[in-house]
Amino acid sequence: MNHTSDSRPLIVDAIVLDDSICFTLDTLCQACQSDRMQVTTLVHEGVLDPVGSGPDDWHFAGSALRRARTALRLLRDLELGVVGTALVLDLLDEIDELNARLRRAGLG
Amino acid sequence: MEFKDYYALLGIERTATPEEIKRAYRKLARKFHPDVSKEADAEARFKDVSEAYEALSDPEKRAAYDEIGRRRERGQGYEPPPDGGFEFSGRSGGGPADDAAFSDFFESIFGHRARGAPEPRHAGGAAADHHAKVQIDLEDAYRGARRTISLRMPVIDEQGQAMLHERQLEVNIPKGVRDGQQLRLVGQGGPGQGGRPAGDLYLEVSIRPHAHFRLDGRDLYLDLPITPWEGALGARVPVPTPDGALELGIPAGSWSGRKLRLKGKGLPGTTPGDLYAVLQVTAPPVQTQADRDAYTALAQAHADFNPRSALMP
Repeated sequence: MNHTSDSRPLIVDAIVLDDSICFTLDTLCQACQSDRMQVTTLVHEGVLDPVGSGPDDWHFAGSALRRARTALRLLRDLELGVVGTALVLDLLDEIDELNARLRRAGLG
Repeated sequence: MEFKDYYALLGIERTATPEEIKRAYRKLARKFHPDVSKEADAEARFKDVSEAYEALSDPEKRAAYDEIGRRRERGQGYEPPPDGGFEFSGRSGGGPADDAAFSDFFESIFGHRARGAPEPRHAGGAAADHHAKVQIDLEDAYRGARRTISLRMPVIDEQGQAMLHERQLEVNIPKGVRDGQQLRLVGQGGPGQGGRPAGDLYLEVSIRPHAHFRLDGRDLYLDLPITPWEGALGARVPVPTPDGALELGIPAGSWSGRKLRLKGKGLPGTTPGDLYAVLQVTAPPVQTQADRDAYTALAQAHADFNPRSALMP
């Protein structure tokens, strides 16, 4: 494949996606290249936990993007199904917490 | 170009049935999936396994690959077919690893557009948001940093040919960013269609492990060696932080394992983290007669002290 390149790098300010940044359902779908139905399924299974009364009113914390992308990769690559994906994410959270405890104790 | 043995990558025979191929892929995908695997080379292994599965799970692609394998066995070597060389029915299987580039070997056989990368499925024709990773040092997270990242994006030129467009960005990373957090670079994703704004680029931050500090969210942990007399009598000792050295007061009667908190000296932020110095009492070695005399005097001064009294009352 042929290559092209820009000569001068552009300087860009990065915004940290902390919990002061919110996604709507549509912007989260765009950010993780998914669709409303798939993300809604993740909400109903408890993988994502938005604030709001319904899909058009949902607001997701900035940290939801990473969790949504991980969930979508597991769904796609391991063909797990939503329930299996939710279980794997819970277990990964638990492993992260145990690793954090080891690090705090100087053993990690 | 190096020939890739997809059967060997999946650990299967060339006569494997579609079910055997799928079984082998699933087993290896679970083992090497970067989200669940702790293997050091998980990401590279998962890409290999996904690529092998993409090639062997589609009967047309498998037939083309097997034909190349047979030519190679007859000593004809592997030459990339000109312009793809094989025709495919354009199946888009939505296969694994859509954001992972397959090898040049794969693309030389099947073409760049042959793999099953799903198109973004969000409605309204909005521009695609893109994702990449950036690794920084702990000191960068403390003070903020500027990092140059290179991005390669396939684009279709006016003749309909796929081109790889490379560009560099100098990214100002704000201080206080945590390991695993995402950064948003507005307007640096895929180009917008029909006058729509460009998508955003998201960077996932990973902070390199540090030789002395351990991170836990915004908090930092440091093992701080002290002498027995500093612990017993109290002292003021210098402590390193990613932002320069500080002086820490050790209260009298401190022993190994005691955690002393330096409030607000962890990662900066609206609520900055804390730095915990975990004390490690370190006794001097006995190398000279003077060392021996000092320990003997200590033993005589504490003749009644029994650290094992709780074990053997």
